[in-house]
Amino acid sequence: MRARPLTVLSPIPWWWAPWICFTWWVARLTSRVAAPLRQLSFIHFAHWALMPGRRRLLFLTSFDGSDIQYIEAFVRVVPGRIDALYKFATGFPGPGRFGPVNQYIADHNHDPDHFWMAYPHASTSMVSDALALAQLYAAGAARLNGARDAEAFAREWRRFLTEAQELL
Amino acid sequence: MSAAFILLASLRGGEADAARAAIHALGKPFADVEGTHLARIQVLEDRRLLVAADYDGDLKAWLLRAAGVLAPVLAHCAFWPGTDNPAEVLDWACDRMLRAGFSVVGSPDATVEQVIAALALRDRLARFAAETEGLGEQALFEAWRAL
Repeated sequence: MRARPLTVLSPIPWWWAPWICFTWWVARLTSRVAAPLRQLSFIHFAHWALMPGRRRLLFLTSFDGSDIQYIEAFVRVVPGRIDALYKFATGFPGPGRFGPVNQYIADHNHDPDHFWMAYPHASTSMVSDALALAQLYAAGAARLNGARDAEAFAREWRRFLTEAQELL
Repeated sequence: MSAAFILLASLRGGEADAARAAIHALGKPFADVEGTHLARIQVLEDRRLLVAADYDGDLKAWLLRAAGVLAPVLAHCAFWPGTDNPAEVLDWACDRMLRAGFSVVGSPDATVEQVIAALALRDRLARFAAETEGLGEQALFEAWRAL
């Protein structure tokens, strides 16, 4: 299994929940919030939700690599967005330094009793590359399969390989 | 397009360990729930059951399939109605679902089947490219036709 899960429960004051909901509403209006996280290329899925009573923030994620790499990348790439969500979470040390954030995550993480993935050996990059390759192949399959002779096929295959080499 | 499912249900008093044992006894339950990208199930703070997944397609259909395989675990939850009446299962689950306020998904538009098919195609093409490197045109053509 390449992906690793985190289940982080963060206590928040009651008055912080409306702000969190507002940031989510804004974030859903634009791709600019999710884009840098998606570009990290190791998040399979990440979801934030408020627990019943709106006194705790639930963060569910699954990612490639180690917890340390993941948290370090979050702190480095999107510190402002972390601050916007967790600034007043009880005990959150702020996104400025990786070490305290890592400790905070470790203290508030709850390991799943069972974690399962339909494509356990695939990293996020492998999935996105494979999907892009499938599109490229769909566009070129007719030419490859319709080549009348060896010379025509070799030409089409070389063209396909040139286009697909970064995805294979 | 995948969607998030998050369910948080109270366990019956004193049944946290029994719920954990039931989870471990299930093996790989989500392998039998078609359309599931990824899922987790856990006893949270000894008093609640958290089930979270990313799934394709219709929520009700997916939820009923999941409830069927997870029934031995869900049986430890308060007010679990059993699986006999699908409408009661859906009502029970919908009352306990959390809404994801914000999500980031690596490949949000792909179904499980598309991902698995694409990974298999990638493997096949990569193997073909490696095995035919340096072949002449005729041998390359024949290898493709034999693929």
